[in-house]
Amino acid sequence: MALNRLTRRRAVQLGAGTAAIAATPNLLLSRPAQAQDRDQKLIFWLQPNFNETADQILIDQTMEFAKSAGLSDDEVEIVKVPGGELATRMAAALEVGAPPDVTRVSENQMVTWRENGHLLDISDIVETMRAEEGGINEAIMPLAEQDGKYYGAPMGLNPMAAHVRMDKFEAAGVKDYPLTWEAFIEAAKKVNQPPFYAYGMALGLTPSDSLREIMSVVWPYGGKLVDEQGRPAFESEGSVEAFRLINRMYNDDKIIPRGVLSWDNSGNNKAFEAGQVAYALNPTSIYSNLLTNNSPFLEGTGLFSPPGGPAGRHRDMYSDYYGVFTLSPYPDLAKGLVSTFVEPDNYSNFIIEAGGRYFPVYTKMTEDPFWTDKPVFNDLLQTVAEGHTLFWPGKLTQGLSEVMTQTVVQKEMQNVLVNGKDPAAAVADVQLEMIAIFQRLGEPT
Amino acid sequence: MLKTKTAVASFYFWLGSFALIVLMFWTLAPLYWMIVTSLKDQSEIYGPGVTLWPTSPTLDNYRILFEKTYFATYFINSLIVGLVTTLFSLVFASLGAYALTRLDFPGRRFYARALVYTYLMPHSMLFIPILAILLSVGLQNTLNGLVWVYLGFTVPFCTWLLMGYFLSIPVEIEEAGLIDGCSRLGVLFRIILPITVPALAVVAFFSFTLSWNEYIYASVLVTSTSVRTIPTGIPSFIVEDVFFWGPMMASTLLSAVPPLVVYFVFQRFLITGLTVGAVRM
Repeated sequence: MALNRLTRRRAVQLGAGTAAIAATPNLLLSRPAQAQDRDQKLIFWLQPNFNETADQILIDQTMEFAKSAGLSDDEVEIVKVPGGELATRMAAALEVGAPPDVTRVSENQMVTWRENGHLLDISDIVETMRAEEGGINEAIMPLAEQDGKYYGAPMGLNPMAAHVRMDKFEAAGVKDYPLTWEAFIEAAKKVNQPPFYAYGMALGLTPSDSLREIMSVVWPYGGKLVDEQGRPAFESEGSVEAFRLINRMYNDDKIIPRGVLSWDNSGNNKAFEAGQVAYALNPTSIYSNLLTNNSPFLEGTGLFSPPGGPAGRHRDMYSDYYGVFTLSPYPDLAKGLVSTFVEPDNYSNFIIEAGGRYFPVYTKMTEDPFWTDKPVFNDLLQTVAEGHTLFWPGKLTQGLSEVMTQTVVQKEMQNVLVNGKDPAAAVADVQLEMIAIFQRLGEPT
Repeated sequence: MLKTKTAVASFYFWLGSFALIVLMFWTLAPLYWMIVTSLKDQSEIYGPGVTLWPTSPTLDNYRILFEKTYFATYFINSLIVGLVTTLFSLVFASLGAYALTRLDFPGRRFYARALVYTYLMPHSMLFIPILAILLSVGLQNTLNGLVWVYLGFTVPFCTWLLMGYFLSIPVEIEEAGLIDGCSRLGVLFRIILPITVPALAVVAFFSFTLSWNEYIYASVLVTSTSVRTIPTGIPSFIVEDVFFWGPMMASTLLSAVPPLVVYFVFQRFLITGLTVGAVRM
């Protein structure tokens, strides 16, 4: 094929034409967002709180704060960031040095962001909260602390609640909620009528719910993830006994559906809300959703802490935190916004409108009739008063965070359930893996 | 013998029909489920039994979508980004492909190959550097920025696609036009493009669907509600570990409509474009 020679004149003409065309998208698309000038904005990434009213309260409080701080509406920006998008967005934002001023920080994020110097010391806010009558729940504070400084203000307590279909248990002749795992198994066998299963135990390879599920059995038998010094301490008779018990429930008694090994964090929610299981351990988001949807299962559902064992009942809870980023161009304004959120009146308003999704971090607020008048919350109020975090008696470190994200415990649990691995060997392998991770990160072993 | 042949033909006919029915079910079942879920209320979705058709069909999820969420804004934004990206992909790719196939200039082969190589770069590796670039030029959080980024993906592929088609057109047709006094651009717009409509339809469809469905860049490069697109709006129906299936399915269904319309409009050209010239090199 013959090709035509491009002359310089023609090249210039074509180039000019192309440049003109290239410039036109900017003229055509005149829909810039409000957040053009980062320097002039106070940016709050709002992660939806399950409840529209609660979200709106945070928006209103932000706008009121902005007004009181002399900012115009254009100088504050609230960005709704769904939880599933946060990791990608924040990774990119931190990489290019443009994180928001304030956002909600989860346990794992608290460790990662704090260790990498992304979070600002906001001890003064925490001390102000502590100074309120009754103080705040101290069990969840070690996670936000490093070298005597606090990098997060607690946002709301999430007691891990066993959502239990008491109507099903009662129909099977079990009047009271079983207080030990042995009693639970016996009761569960009566309830179990596949495809309706007694125990929707999340055991998938996801970092959050499945580890809490396993630990809810490990603790009552005396096991734990780490000791007081933060060293791996999973290898114990208690952990082995717990692995055996879970294996028994899954393989022998078959009170756990087979599909749980592939569940993500929403698996137990869906199963319980669809009426497929009688027991699911989760924060109270399941209960809130039953409430919102006027679920036919709401009436028969009770909220409890998980059953116990020889080492008693362990009550597990966690909290998210409000954090301020060190790159915030307006650290004082950002801290002012966090102070507004945790100011007792504002906070109480938010917590109550969230309808039981979060329990208050201010100890005194748990005496509010909103909580005490509802029998369904009784057991969880005890969890809030006496509970520990997943990492008790230690606290979450980068090593533990990696153990969680690599699902070290869950993988070995699955090895026991699927491949028939000896529980003692599986527990020993968890310990070895934890030690390897801790050593690599320079943490005590 | 004839009877055997007929039996074999009949066997293959039924086997093919069965395979087609399975494939149709495979394709249409999720769509059906999406439609019926969007017409159920939340309590039925999470109800004790599975219903193949809503017991009391409701449009409530669609009402929620338009009254309580920013779906309309996301939809308009997606439409703008999709159409503008498509338009400019057509323009840039046509000019680029024409130049690379018909004009003689230094580095022509290099540019032609570079087009393919740039397309091979995994998109997920680029979003942070691109965010840094957009921030530095003030295009973060704008639809302009999204369009520019999408053009970076669509133009190389579309140019490469059109090159194959242009090469299949006899150069004599152009020479006849040039002899008759037509300019180079005149040849392109008056002669070449009208006979490459099938390939242009493929380019348009590809550009539109890519920019319509793209998620990761849209989620990182724009954050404000006023400039978000549909793929980044749908995840807002997942709050923590709770799924709002009704509105999510309604939004997914509505978001599938524009690509379907584009496909049906260009269907005739698309099939030709994909199967004839567009794949030649």
